[in-house]
Amino acid sequence: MFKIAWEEPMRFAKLFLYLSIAMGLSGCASVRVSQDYDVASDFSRYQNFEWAFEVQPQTGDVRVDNPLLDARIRKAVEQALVNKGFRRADKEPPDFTVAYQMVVQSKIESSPVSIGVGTGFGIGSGSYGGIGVGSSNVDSYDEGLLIIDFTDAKNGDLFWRGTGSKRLTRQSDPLKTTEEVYTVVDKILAQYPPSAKN
Amino acid sequence: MIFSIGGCSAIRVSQDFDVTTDFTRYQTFAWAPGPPPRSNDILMDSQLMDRRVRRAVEENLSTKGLSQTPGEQADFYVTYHIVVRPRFEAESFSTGFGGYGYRNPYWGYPYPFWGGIDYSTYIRQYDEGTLIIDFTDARSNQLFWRGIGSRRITQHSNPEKTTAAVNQTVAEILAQYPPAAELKKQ
Repeated sequence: MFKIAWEEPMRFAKLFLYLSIAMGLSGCASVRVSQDYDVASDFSRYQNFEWAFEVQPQTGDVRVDNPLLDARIRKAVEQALVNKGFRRADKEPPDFTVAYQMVVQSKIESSPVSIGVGTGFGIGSGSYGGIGVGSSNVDSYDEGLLIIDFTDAKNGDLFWRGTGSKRLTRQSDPLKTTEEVYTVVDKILAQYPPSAKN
Repeated sequence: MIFSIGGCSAIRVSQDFDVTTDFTRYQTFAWAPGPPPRSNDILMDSQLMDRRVRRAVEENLSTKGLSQTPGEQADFYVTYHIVVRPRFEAESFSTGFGGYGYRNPYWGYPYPFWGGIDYSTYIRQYDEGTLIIDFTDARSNQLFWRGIGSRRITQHSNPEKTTAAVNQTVAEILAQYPPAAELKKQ
């Protein structure tokens, strides 16, 4: 029996894999980002930006249609772009327009249901057996998805899209909410411009 | 990372069609007029995705010998729709197998031991995307063929991988067209 334990490294590898999934799912602070873009784009052409919508279009979801959140996201995006060396178009027409979309989705996650079977015996001291069942947890939570789009101001073609998703935490401290928004926006925009070979 | 672990990028395809259709009549196609269709998912609604799907469909149909023409001359119109739905899956796996043995020095009895095995079940959520490709008779406006393909959505950061996934899905859906003769007789 002891041998089996050591001869199955794959099983242990799998255990670690699942443990890392569990941590990934419950890791509240993690932001997952991805991007999409037109591989034919010459990103160096785009230097001046302007918002595509002066007033953010309403989505119908009161959690998203929030002027406080809108102001935060815009400020975070503007600041991140300026830090990258882009300029807000002043009098000249912009090279590209920036738009964001946000959606809140309900997701579920479960912690593993654990069932353990154990035995024990010793010579002269009797034998023991037992089955243990761990409790299961299925939770639902809200995940926020933020999309940032860059569109060519001249021909109207979308040339880059960055996305980031994150479990939403309810904050009562506006400074913390602002901090979260900046973290997500910075991580999404850190992908731009895409490296030549991704 | 989480999305890719499931690993199976299998595409499930199906089709529906009017069994009385003479598919040989349809040689030229055009995209149905109007704006690109909206899906129920803001991630899918992008010009980048729209261009990808259209290019894949156009290339695939032209390899079948069908040619794209301006709208008014086409034999049939092509449209597509994307639907994204959450799916759940459960998986059981063994988390460990262990034992412990020792020689009891006091009692002198050799090899008492304990052993155990542990199983766990996980429930995971993932997104499944369904692509529907419709062919409509340009004159009668009747739908005569619909191809459907569903797959688990994997988020890529490399657009070429996303394009490859779209190309593969479109190719598998359109591989069903035209329907085999034996299907038509049933």
